[in-house]
Amino acid sequence: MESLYKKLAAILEIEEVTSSAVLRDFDIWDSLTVLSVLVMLDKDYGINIDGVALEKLETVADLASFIQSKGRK
Amino acid sequence: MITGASSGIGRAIAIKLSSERKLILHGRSLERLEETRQLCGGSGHLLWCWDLKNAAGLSDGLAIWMEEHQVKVESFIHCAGMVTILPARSISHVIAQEILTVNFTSAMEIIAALLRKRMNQQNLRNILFISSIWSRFGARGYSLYCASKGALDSAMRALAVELAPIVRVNSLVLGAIKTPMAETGFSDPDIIANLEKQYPLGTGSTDDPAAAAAFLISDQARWITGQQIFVDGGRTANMSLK
Repeated sequence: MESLYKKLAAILEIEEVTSSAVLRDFDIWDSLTVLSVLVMLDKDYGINIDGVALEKLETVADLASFIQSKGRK
Repeated sequence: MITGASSGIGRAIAIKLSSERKLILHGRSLERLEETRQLCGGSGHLLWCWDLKNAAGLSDGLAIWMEEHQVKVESFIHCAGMVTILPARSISHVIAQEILTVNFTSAMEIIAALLRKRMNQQNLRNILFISSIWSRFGARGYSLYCASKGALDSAMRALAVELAPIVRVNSLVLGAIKTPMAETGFSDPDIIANLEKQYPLGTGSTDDPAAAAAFLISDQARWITGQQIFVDGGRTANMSLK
């Protein structure tokens, strides 16, 4: 999951993310940032979900578990 | 030849033209192309499967396919396209290249092939690009999509001049239409509310571009070339504040 954390940090434009960080609390979290995450999930993990489904994942750890539950690393 | 004929607007155009013309239906999925063919009237329609992301070998692939099926192409409608919405800070050359290839460069390669005497014996008469109002206007996250549609419309004008008087070239510039590709937008209640306010005639259905396309490639449009024909429910005429 290390590379996921690095990718998220890049999208959120911060040095690093912690697993307990709440996604929507980031200043930069807007509709375009959501799209960046969705594109990353699709391109890098082959996971196709929409914004509504992403909304249900609150923290970085939630996102990591979600990806793992889809059988991706 | 209609690219992107496996769904949405491409499928609707195919169905509209099918009773009067023999079609080459292009798409990525043979299964969905076959579905389109089943919905078509007339007969003798052919299927060409190719992922337009694969630009290398595209015109060779098309040449082989045309030779195999012994066909010539009179009208080319480029309806295939993808939408990639990203903040500008997330753009990379690789992502840009993908959308520009599918939406624009692949069409240019196909046209080049259809203009070669050996391949198409000067049979080409019409080119129609399915473009969008985002070729003329911007939106957050749309820079690459806008660029790709803008590229189509600019190339359209140059091609119209270069290929006259034998080949007419136009763009059909479309507003918001509910298609499988547009589903994410159309399932957002905020967007739906905005669309209702912004579109004097409401949003379109896939029948709308189909009718316009049929006209533009017909002889009735014989004096129309180099034009962006807007079919957008009046959207781009609307600057209302409320």
